[in-house]
Amino acid sequence: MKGKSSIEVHNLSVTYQNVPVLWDIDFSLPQGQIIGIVGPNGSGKSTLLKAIMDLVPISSGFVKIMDKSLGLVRDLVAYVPQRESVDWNFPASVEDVVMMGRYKKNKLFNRLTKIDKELVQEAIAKVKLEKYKDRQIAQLSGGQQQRVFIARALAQGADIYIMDEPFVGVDMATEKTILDLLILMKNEGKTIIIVHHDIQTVSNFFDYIVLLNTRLIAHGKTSETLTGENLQATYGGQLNLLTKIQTLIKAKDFPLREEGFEDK
Amino acid sequence: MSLNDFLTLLTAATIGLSCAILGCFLVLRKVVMVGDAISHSVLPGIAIAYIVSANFNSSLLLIGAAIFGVITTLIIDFFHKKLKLQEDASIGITFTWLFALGVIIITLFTESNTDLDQDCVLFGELSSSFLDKIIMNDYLIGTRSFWMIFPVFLIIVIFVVRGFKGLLLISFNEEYAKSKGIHVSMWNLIFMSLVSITTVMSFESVGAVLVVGLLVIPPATAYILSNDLKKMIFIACGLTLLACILGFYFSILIDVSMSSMVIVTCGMLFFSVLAYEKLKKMLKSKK
Ligand SMILES: Nc1ncnc2c1ncn2[C@@H]1O[C@H](COP(=O)(O)OP(=O)(O)O)[C@@H](O)[C@H]1O
Ligand SMILES: [Mg+2]
Repeated sequence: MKGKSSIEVHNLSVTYQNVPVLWDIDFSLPQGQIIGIVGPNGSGKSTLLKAIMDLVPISSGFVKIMDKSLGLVRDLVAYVPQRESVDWNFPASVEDVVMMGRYKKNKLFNRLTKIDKELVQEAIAKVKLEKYKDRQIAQLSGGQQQRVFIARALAQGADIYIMDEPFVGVDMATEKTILDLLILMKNEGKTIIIVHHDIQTVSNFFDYIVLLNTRLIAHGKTSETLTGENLQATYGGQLNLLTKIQTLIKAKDFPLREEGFEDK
Repeated sequence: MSLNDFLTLLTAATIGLSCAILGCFLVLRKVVMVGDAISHSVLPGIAIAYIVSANFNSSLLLIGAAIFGVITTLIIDFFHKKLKLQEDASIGITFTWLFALGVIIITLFTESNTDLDQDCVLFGELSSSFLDKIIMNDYLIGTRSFWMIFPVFLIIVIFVVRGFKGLLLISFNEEYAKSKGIHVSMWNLIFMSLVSITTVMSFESVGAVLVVGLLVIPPATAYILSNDLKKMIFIACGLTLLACILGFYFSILIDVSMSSMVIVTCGMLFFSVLAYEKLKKMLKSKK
């Protein structure tokens, strides 16, 4: 499995009103790993995911998923949008939202089957929200809302998961739940691609990273790619942060969040 | 209740329920103003339809009029997304312009066509809808107003029941729906066409302004009361029926236009619910 690429991006450029947001991005990502797309705010990370999911018009280039175009493998790819992209006051329960993961383009008019419903319950259990499944989504914490989104993706039963900032605004317990889940998914051979902007946690979370700032700065195994130079190129003028990063790099492999620190 | 009362109420209820169901999605998708725009910009279409067809029974022409509503949403989209004009400005420009055009068409041709005047365009009149009865083989089979809206109502019910998943998906999270390959703009177009046809078919009875009240007020009230989409739709329908019945009797009681009274009642229900919720919260926090 691993040798083949999950997602290939070829000479991709995206512009908003003639301003390039992504410029000539070209990379291919491995399968079965947890992959971070890392860069400062406004560097085009969300746009890259949207371009992969065919949600924004592409100026040039193309994207292949498992060597095919997205239209052919849609059910194999689950997209988890940024949490702020929806109105959480929507009248729907946790279960309603996770159920959306089972909706399929060609079966939109069919009833959901028993299997669909089982998969939904399973997904809810995996993110530990069983107790909340009938709750309206407005009455959840940020971390719980994020888990609802992840459960919805899980319910889809995809092979590739594309998540936009799943760690933003979540509590420690949720972070751990999500991380454990990601590792579990990886062990099942799933590919997980995560947009992330917090540089401090990169080495803990990801096997493979793509450093992005409108252009592609670098991509590769985290251990080889997370270098001072690359970070300087990605985060540029943000010096305060950079000094922090450099100390971080020097102390490479230093466990940032020690066991037992997180909770309980 | 007399037969005429019943026929009037039946028409009001069918219009009201059609609006309530569609309105729930307008409210949730935050495109109430687009619904408002549609209800106004179908006017030139309606005017042309009335003028072209000497006899007024040609419902087919009125469906044609609904195209103006669909075009409106497309123009708004074009101004907003392609020309990068603010959305509210795009809406304002489009519908006022079309509405004014409609008014001019009507004033120019109104002499030869007394059934269509400016008052009726703006406010409609439900309580005169029973005048236009349809009688077949000596059996009364309803009023023309009713038979104009009833097929639309049926289509809406079927569309919402069958297409519930699609509507839920695009209402909650359009981008996610797109990521699943769902043709969001197609769904949008169908939905807005239904809004458009509904406003056209109910316009004689309630007019271009008041129909917006039916589209917004009961769904907004139901939104406060419910945390489940299906419940929200049912509550909106229930409130609408209540407002129709109460509005009908109020309007007889103080002898005013029924369509206005129905909307006023909708508003009163809304404020009552608002007050009730506020009170409930206050009591809760005191405990
Ligand atoms: N719909 C849009 N229209 C215009 N500009 C946009 C739009 N979406 C994002 N941008 C701009 O594109 C740039 C990249 O945005 P984004 O991909 O969201 O970055 P990131 O996710 O890395 O923070 C930002 O400068 C942002 O302002
Ligand atoms: Mg982003």
